[in-house]
Amino acid sequence: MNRRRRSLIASLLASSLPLSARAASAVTARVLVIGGGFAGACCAHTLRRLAPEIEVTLIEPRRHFFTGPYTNAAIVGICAEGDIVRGPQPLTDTGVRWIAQRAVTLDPVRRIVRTEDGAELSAERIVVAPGVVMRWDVIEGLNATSSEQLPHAWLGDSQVFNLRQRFEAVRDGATVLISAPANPYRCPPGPYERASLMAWRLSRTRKRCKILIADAKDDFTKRALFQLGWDTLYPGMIEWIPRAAGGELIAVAGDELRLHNGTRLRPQLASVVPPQRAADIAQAADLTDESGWCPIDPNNFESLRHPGIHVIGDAAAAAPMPKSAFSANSQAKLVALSIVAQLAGRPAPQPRLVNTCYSLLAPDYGISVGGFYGVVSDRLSTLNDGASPLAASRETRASEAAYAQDWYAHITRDTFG
Amino acid sequence: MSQTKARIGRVRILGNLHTSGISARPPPDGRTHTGAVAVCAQRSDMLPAGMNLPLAAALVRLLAACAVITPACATETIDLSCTICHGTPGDTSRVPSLSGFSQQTLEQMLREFRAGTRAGTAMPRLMKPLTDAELRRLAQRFGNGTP
Repeated sequence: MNRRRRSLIASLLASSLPLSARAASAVTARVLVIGGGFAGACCAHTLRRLAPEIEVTLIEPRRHFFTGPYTNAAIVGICAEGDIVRGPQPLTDTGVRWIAQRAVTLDPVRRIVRTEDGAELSAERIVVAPGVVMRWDVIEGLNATSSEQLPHAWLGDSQVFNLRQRFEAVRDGATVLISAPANPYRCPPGPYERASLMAWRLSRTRKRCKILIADAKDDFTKRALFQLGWDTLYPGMIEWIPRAAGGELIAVAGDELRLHNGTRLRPQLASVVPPQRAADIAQAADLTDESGWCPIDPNNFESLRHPGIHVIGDAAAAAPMPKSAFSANSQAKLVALSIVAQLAGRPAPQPRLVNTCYSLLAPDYGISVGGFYGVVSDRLSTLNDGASPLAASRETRASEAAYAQDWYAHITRDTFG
Repeated sequence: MSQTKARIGRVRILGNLHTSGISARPPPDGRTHTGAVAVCAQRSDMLPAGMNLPLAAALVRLLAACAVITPACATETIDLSCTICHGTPGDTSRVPSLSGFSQQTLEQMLREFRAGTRAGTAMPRLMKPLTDAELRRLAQRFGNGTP
């Protein structure tokens, strides 16, 4: 290299350095993430991956929880409960600061979060990803106490053990009732996957069992695929009672469940998945509207009620995206990219979001639905979606079951480290 | 002198690492370690004259450390979504791998999924709305580095 070229490169390096240094200093900021599920953990993780200069604090009280995906598999013994335990600890290796406290208040104007121990934290950006809570004001007699006898196992807590134990105790000739709520709720195919996998297990280990699905709606995701699978794998064993047939559960009293059509049932086992809304912190912080969910700008999932606060995952009103782990992961990445771009003065990322949901009807029988989402006329919109073909070979179903397993391994690693 | 200017131009667009023939690729585990950005110069003829590989590598590391650069310069959500199903290079996944294809082959496959002429489970429905530029970027990101 001659002297002239050396000096040219040196001057280029010198001229590029201050720009780069400015970019680096511009992104030094604090981001608080409330909630360590698929949305919150992924956002914290992605922020650290994209911009290590940003100080990321994750507020999540649970050291461990069960993931929603594969909970049904754990309940029927396809996998062990231990296989679906995740938590925030591994993210600390990536530099995420984890505070094992519950966020009790969030001042959405001053952007100050107070945790259960009284500590106050503030940040330039706050990401709210608290998930859902159950509504106890819809089904008469259903509350946190009575729910323990009718476990939903929907929130990653001890109800998963509870339902698994009750399922293990089901005897020959049993009727199992699964109650599915109206939309929107976390994991739209979950109740139907649960019915499928319970049928798989009971058809092998018990005699003459029946599964009823009492539904508060007249359609559900992947319905044709589920019903085809039920007819193929468990003929006559699963009965779906849609809303139009009075299937909505309206009251529980002790072990008796009453449907809208007047039917009173005393099943051996009932799993009632209650209606849901955004978790309490979202409501307390004035991020929810009358629907109970958090309205957002689909371009960056910033709250429409309070700027500087992003809401992602199940708490967000992000229809037509389903409230799924993949949706949460995708929204988290959009928000992480948006925050980094904004702090660095770069153009905002395109709001292009993805979802793929696998459901198992048996350990070797999987189906999927997926969609691609973008913003059209300021609204979050489905750009294309689709499900597994109805006419598919058993090899295809087996492949999708295997893909589901790998998907689980990959998304949990991508999200939780 | 005009030649020198052209070469300087290339150095200036090192931010667009693929254009320069240098790519900053993620480590196999897909994590971000800006201090350990692997530098591959596949086309040394595209380097600025007089710039050797160690210097190019140092420059890329410097840029990576100073600017906000992800393991593979992801700027869009979809860049970060593929590995959810396909896994990262080195995974033994039953979902068909993204690894081992040239950029051109991968881009052609993605185009076929989009057109509906290639069979798949999730891919045809997911690729349909993608633009040419997005398909190209994904192919650049996940192709094995050969054009």
